[in-house]
Amino acid sequence: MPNPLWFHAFSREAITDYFDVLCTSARPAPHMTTTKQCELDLGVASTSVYCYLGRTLEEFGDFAVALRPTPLPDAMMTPFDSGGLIANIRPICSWSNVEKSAYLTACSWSTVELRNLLQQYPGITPEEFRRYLDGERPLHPGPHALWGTVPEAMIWSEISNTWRAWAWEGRWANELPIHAALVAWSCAPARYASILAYADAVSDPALQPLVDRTLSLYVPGGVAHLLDRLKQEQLR
Amino acid sequence: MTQIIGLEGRWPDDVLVAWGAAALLLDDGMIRNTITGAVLPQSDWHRLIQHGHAYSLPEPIPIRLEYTYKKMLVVGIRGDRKSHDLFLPDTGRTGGIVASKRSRRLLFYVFMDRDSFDSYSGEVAASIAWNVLKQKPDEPNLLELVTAGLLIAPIDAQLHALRVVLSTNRERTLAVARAILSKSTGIQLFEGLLRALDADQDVDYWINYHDGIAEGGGLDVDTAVKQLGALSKIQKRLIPILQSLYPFLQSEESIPSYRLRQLKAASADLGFGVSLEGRPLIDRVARYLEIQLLQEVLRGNLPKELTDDREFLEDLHQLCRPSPETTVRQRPLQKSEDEAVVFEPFDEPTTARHDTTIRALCYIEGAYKQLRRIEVRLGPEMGAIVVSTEKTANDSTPAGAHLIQQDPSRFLFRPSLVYLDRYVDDQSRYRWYLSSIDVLSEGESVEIVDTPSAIVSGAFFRGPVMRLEKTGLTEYAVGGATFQVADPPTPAGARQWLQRFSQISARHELEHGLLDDVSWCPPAKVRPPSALMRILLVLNHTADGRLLLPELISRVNRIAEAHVRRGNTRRELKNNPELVTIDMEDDEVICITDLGRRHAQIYLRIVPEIAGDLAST
Repeated sequence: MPNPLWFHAFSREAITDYFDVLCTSARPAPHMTTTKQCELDLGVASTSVYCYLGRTLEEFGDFAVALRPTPLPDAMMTPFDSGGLIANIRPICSWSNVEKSAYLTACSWSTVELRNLLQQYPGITPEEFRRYLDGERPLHPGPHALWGTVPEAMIWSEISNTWRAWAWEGRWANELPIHAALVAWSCAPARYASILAYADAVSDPALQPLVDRTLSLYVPGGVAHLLDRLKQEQLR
Repeated sequence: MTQIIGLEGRWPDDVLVAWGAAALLLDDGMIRNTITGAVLPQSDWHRLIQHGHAYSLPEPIPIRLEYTYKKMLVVGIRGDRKSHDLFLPDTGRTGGIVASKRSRRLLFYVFMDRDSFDSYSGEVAASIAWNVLKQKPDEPNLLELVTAGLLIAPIDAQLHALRVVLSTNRERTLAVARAILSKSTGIQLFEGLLRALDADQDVDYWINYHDGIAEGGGLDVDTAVKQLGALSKIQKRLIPILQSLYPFLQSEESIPSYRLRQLKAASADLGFGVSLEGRPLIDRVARYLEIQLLQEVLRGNLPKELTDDREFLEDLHQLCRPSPETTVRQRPLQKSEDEAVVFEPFDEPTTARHDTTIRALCYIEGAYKQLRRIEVRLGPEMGAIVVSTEKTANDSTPAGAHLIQQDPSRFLFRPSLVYLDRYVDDQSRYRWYLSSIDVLSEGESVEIVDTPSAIVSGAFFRGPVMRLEKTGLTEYAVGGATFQVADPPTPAGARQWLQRFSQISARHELEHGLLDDVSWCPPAKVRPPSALMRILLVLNHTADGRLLLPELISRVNRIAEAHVRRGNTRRELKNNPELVTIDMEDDEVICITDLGRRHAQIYLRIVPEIAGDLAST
């Protein structure tokens, strides 16, 4: 059985914002964003924090964390990037918002069922999970081929669709607790001096151990190196 | 050609260096992350830049197609900033640099893979550490320089130790460093270097002798000279070990000797200090670290590189066991109690096992201790072997050795046939014992079973037997060739005929070395392969015997303990055209010849364990 991790990638200007997330939780941005607009269009009940299973959604990243599934609270998961339904993932992106919303609902399951869901897609043999981690196109035309209750849509075989159309997405309503589930993290190496300066300046005795534990989990080299290193861990 | 158009992550304007995964523009217009392999359209690339996930290079960097699927890394350096020169790679020494570009005030270097980058970042860290230690501690901007170094080498133990010492908030910086290094193998180096940096002026180290040579208090002058002489030789042997542990010391032209600072009255207690007035910090640090290393050696923790270094072990024996009645203790740095010195010399054959017996051609090049010891030379590149003429490993008298006692000139510098037994202990330390020795008479012929290998130093080839015949007063024939030995023989003459014989036996080994029914007596301890052999092994490991030069250097560095200069590689090519060549149509491609392959394949038969190192390249 593989050991999948959830990945959350984001970008901030200030290092203090990164450590707020690392030492506590990630929360949706307070202002209106593209993500929030998508949530409104799709009828997602609460603003959410998003993770992707096995690797980050973005092909390049400034900052990312890797989280172990076990201590995370329950969330909903879908076998595609829900935001992609709005504009990118064919043929769904040409449907009405009502149809998109219905499709999303039909393809959403609780993260409690993670192990069972992985057995169905992408599969739990090392080779099957490796194909998933490498972003390879699934062998089935769409989720409907694996789950009978899902409406038919060839989102996986549609040639113009990419990894976004077949990555497992997790949606945590309102807040995603990071620190307890943190396995590793990385950021652009050019930010490292600021990280050290921040860490040196922490004077709150309650915060210092959290920051120090976080520092011990740092993987040098940036998001790509984080993913590369953790790929083998997930396949074990 | 493809092009690198960006690197992952932000690069703020006030930061000297950046590095990370490269964004590679493919022929089909898609962009590939060189580390993860993820591919995206150009429209998404611009969005990522906008959101701070990636940095766009001012100009693309052309890359050969052969590197398309390598896990390349880009390093960017702001060339208009102070100290940026400390981050410039030595392109003659650092392997794996596949491209570079200057775009106005920005410099970019593309490394073939993470290993190449790690080599480079290690060198930068060592160079910065050395530069900082050479300055006075109150020089401005040292902390800034160390922090900049950590951008390239985030978990470098040397730089973190310096950052702690230079920090104005030491306690917190120390906790941060320990947290960052907690999962790293560098944590012990960090703690060791920190102790050296923090050591105050009065810290000292003692070696104390009691009884035996120190009976009655003090030491006879000639005894003191012997002990300090042994210590001096030990220090010189430990310098390379120290420099490999602390790479910043490699830049230091000379590591200072141990400083004898105190001799306690009416005793044989020798006190060594680390701090000297007016010397830069690096002097104190180097002295502290080398004493720290000596301490460990005297605790019985010998560096593996020296466990079979006979001269080193003899000097250590002299230092630790000058006489059976003498007790030696040490008082480690920053301790108040003495502790026993632990050293087990290898002088008891009963504790070792018989490893091999060789029957080989040699000459005696020296004798001492009233001819009770002779120096036997088996090959021009091998060191002389010292053996006893009094007893074999079984305490009997070596056959023929009495003739040496009667008339040493009969043997000196003349071709002689020896049987030698090698014994090895459980720490791979070895010793040779003479079993028999004989000089050929005119018309006599003998079989030579073992010849020194031309491929692996210290190994002996056992192929088809070679018959050596003394055909005349000064002529010898072997293996279809002949050589001359002057009469009376001379040291220079002996070197010449042995050189000639080694050429004959090298040809013999190359001709027969891939047959099924040959073997080798391996060396007691395998030395790392030479620069040339590393090149041959890497090329032989490829399917077609060809590699681009940056990739060749990078792979060679991975199985080497020291870096191979690009210039050195070209020198090896120039000096060995029969083994490696440059492709006629592309001078970046290096090829192995059939003879070169034969060398490499024979090496692999003698040292099969290196196949694992090659597989990991």
